[in-house]
Amino acid sequence: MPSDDRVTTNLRKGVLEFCVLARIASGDAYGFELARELQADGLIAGEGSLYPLLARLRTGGLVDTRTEESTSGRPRKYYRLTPAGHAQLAAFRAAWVPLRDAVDHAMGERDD
Amino acid sequence: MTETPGRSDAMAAWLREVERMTRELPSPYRDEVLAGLQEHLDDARDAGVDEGAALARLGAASEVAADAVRQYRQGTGEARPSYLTAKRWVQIIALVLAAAGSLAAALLPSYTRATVTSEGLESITSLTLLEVNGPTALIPLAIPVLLAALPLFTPRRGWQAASVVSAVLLVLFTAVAMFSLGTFYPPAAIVAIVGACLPTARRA
Repeated sequence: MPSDDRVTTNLRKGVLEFCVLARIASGDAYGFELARELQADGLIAGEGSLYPLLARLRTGGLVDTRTEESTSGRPRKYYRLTPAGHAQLAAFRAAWVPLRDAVDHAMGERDD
Repeated sequence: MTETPGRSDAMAAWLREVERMTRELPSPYRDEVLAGLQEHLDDARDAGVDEGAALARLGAASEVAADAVRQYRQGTGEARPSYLTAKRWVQIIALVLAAAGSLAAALLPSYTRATVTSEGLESITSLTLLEVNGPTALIPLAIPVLLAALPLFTPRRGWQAASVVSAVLLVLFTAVAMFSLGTFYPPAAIVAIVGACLPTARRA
């Protein structure tokens, strides 16, 4: 039997990339702020796990980057969604709502 | 990796640890992950976050490295890194050349024996290494083959080290063999050097 932690970790893994895409869709963001927000929302355990995911999303053409200077004058990489990223996010949204309802329904039936 | 002023030893060590544990990944992907982590630590420092806390929030280096490997494989649809990379092929060629060199050394006539018959006639016969020295000659001939095979049977983690050791020892063996067995191994040694110089991961 998987532990509660294991269940949560596996569920997070499945949805994290779409949550990252959704966050970037709402406005370009840089790694540190993305990591902070995702951790605050309980979507990632360690902030470090964001960067392998961002590298995969960029390699897969779902996000791209532009470089801007940070307040301290260092170059800082901002992530933004590509058209392919928007399409992927739309596909997830279309699938997620009925799935979430179905899971809620199934859980509701078990809990009754 | 370039050092940035203000990055502490602990941060540098953490980054090096991730770098070391993701050696099997192609460098463009790995460099991108490492650059992201570096930028994150620089941003944390600029935001006044204590470095210990910043590292703790990033998570264990081993977990981040495992995530990097998992994400890379998910992105490429690769169940695990492919065994047959360009480097492997080159090392297989080195092994074949070493085996061919040993075969040639064993079977090509390399000795001549002059015999004088009772009638005073001299006859010259050519003999192979095996005919002259018997099966014990197979022992030195096995050495270059085993050396060339070494990197092919070493786990991925020690692959590069085994490749360098194999190439260096093959070069030494080739040099020694030139004064005893003959010039049978330069092709294998050259190909082994090329193999040792190739990257262990494919470039994306």
